Amino acid sequence: MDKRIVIPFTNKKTLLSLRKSKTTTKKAPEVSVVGGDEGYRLFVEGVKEYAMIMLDMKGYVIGWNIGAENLLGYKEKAIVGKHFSRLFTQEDRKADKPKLELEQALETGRGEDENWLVRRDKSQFWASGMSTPLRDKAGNLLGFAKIIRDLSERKELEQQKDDFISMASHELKTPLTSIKLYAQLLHKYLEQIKEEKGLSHLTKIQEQITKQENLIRDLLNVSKIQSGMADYQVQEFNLDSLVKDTAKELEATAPTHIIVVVGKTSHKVRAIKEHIGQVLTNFLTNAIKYSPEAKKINVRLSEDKKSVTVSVEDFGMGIPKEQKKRVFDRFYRSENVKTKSLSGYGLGLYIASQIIKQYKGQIKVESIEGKGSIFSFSLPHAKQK
Amino acid sequence: MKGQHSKKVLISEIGNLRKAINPQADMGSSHLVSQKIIITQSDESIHIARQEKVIKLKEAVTLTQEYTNEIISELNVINEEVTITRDYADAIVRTVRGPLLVLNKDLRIMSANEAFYSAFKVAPNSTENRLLYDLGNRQWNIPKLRVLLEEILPEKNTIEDFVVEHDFKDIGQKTMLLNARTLRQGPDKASLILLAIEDITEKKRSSMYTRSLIEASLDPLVTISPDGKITDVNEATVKVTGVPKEKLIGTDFSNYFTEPEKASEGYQQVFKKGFVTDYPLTIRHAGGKRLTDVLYNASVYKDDKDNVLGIFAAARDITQRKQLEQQKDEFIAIASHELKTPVTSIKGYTQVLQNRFQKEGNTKAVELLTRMDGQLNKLTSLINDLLDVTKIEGGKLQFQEGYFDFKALVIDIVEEMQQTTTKHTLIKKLAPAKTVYGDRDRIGQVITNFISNAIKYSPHSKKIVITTSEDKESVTLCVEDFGVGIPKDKLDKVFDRFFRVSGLKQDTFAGLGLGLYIAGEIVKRHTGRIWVESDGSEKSPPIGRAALSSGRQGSTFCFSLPIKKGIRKNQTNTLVEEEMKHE
Amino acid sequence: MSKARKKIMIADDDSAIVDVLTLILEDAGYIVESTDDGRTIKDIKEDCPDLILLDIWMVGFDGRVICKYLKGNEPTKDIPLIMISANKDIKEIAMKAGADDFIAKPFDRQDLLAKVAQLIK
Repeated sequence: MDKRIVIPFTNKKTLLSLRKSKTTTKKAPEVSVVGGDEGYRLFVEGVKEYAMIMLDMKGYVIGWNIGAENLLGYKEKAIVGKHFSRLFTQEDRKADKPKLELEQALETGRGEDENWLVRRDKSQFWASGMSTPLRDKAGNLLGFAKIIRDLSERKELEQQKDDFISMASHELKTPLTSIKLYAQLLHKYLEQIKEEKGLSHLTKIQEQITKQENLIRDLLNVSKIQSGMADYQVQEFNLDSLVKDTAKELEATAPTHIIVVVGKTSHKVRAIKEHIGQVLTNFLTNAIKYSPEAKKINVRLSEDKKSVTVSVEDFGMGIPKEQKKRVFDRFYRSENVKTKSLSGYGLGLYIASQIIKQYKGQIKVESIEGKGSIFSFSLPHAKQK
Repeated sequence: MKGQHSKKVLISEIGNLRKAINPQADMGSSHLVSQKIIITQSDESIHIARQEKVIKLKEAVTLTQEYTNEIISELNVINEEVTITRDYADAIVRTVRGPLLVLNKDLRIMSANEAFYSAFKVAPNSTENRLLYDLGNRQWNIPKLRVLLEEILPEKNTIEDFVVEHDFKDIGQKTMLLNARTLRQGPDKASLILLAIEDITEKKRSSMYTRSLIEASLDPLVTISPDGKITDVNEATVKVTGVPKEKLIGTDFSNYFTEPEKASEGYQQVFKKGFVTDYPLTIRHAGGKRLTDVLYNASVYKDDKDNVLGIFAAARDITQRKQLEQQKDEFIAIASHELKTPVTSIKGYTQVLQNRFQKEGNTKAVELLTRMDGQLNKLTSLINDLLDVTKIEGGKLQFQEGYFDFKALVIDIVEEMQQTTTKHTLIKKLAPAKTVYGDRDRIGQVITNFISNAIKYSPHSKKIVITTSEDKESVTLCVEDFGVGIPKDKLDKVFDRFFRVSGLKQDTFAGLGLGLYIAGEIVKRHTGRIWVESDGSEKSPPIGRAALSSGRQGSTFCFSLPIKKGIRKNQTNTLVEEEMKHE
Repeated sequence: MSKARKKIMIADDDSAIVDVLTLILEDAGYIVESTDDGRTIKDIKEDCPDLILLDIWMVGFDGRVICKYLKGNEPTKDIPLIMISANKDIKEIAMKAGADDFIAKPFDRQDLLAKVAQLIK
């Protein structure tokens, strides 16, 4: 591009260099503000690994650094004035994610999210974005600042872990499948020849096989959920429908029991739905398992000013007093003689308590040996922090 | 550089020009003619165009603000005194894009340009001979400006980058960058003041955005100078270190971490590579107790001349995430442990039944149970692999150390493994017996893994060759197969935790694929070396038909163990030396 | 024709699975043939089985690819095919590949026999 310069005519020699110097290297004390601002401008502009974007109040791009260019492929001129939602995927835009991010920023001081972003060339990458509102001295909203980081590498590692887990699942289940089938074949055969003693041993074997199955499934589910955190979104939702659905599901698998759900809540909780679902499933499975004689299980939904509570009541064997406080421990294994054959390896409750703790909720149990137990958890309302 | 060349041409041309337009050097007429010399940068020659025109800004120039200031500072740099006529001052003023004023020594406006009028919303006719301060209903009566013009300028003759912020009634808050210069008009003539006013309100606003962004960030952000000292921090950094801002600035960045050397290494890396991503560090709170696990992402920032000014570093608080990771790892460790329990009791019951039915002569039952038992062993070994991995990850892999005969171990294992395959013949080419120090079972695990991989990955070939060799320092074992091989670009990844040949799920071979990772860890902890050579092609190994029919490819897996050294006690590099008793 | 014993082909690279499935199916009155090699199954031309049990992952072969091939190939496209996998989540993928049904490991002997009986004719 031609640069035209008008040189004022002087009658002395004038040398004009054509360099552009953006830096004001000489800083008088009273110009420290400029120096500071220049400094920040420099590194915002110079930081290549982070995209630093300025948005106006409505989400239109007004500032774009070189990091943003690198990460997203748009040159400054091409994107300034356009709405930042074009960086999101279609599904995210349909789900109003851009708007929600800004709203969250206004409400809580920062709007954070991890999702797929779309580059200029339509390719996508996994990124973390953080938006903060910017206000003038009077507190008026001027716009938003958004920092984006490329998480592709981490996502790849997580993907690898996921692949590993699903592959491990396959591998572990293969020998288990044939073990199970051999045992079933043997069972049929022993029944045919009426080998009573052998059959009783075999039944034990088959119970253990089921246990093994459950353990493998639990292990892999939890690993999957925890390492697949990125795919599961934190949501605000009402517990009622989750509770009812889970109850129905489990009722279908246990023809011996009826699960009754009472109560309702109006507040929402903020969590990953799958996590809470897991806790519920665990409570209900235990309730079924530990009350083989009884037929009914009661599930209650309730709330108070601060939190929402779900309780699961069974009318089974209950838990001895001394063991009640250890029931959520990692290595807890029911020592109740009657339950020895059913003894869960306690991991389900341990995991459940970890999950609830993570969401700053409470978990507890009330029980009378011989009469039954009530397991309950509560979660804080969504708006409170 | 083009600049240099242009300069030279410029100077000589200006000389020519002066001569050429001399007659018009003295102006006195009210009708001003400005001469413009237009220089095109891209041309090596200079186009000189004379134009007569009534002064209008629009045709002027793409002279940016910076050039305006540049002109003035250039004038300052080159000349002690610049004698300039009033008219030429006017010429400058009118042709320059940015707001520019010429004042006489009484601070009355002699000339103002269009840019000034439009930027500050001043009517053109209201400026002539007006006292600067009186402009716009005394809006320009700015104290700082007075100081500048009345005190600083007379002394210094030039002012650079003087910032004035003022809330104008009519145009709102403006931040202005002032550059001023005294211009002498020659002897006996009063001097003029050239005042360039750059409106940097917008620029400042955008910096303010940046500053707010940085302050608002809940992530601790710091800027570090090239010698590792903190130059600036945000509020989040103050919070996480527990040290006030003034005390942080100027101190060593690495002071605030539990591992200062690791922190220094980190920012050395940034200077070398230009950036660093997800560098793990732990910040220690000044109060002593609180530790915050973070991941640092940092990069250098430079000026336009590509000089590195410093590092900008952002820390991501991962304490929660790390906690979650730890929980998960703990859980997997426990669960893997738990996984063994049912298998153990199944195996127990199975054996009881086997004995029983053997005694009774019930062959069908025995047969079923035997097959079941075989699968139980397989399951157990898979679970063991998983467990080993969790131990490795948790730094808890333990060894039972002792002296053992390496050759004897190899022979034992080869015999064992030969039992597992009818397709392959395991051929031994072994060096003489040698005593080594280490964990016999674990080394055996490595050899078993090599051979079982060789069998697995060459389902259609007939032999596998096991060789051992030795020198003064170490023993080496290699297992060569003639199967599918491994692509060259994957050779160094083969011992990674998540590596799978060809990486495609559908090409999975049985087993968790952890064997090599575990083998690698075992050998490393014995301070040995593990490696692989393969004839695999550059691309992924051919799958399906082609893979199974290819003959001469294959891989050779090797490891070597030092004879004298012992086993690393833990994951860090402290070595336990053991003196070997010679035979 | 429906009185003659039906033939089932098992394609799985795990010998224990093949073994126990053979025992179960033979016990239930079927003739069983098996292979651990993806090539063989693609070469079925005459004497076709009445049902195929196909593992989703075999050494060097993708069960889905084989399934698609069989379902697109004249002599084999009408043979009922049950896909075996370790993961319930794979169900959709299996069905997309054209399988008639799907069974997840570890499964019950009864379940297997029921599915086979339903599809084989």
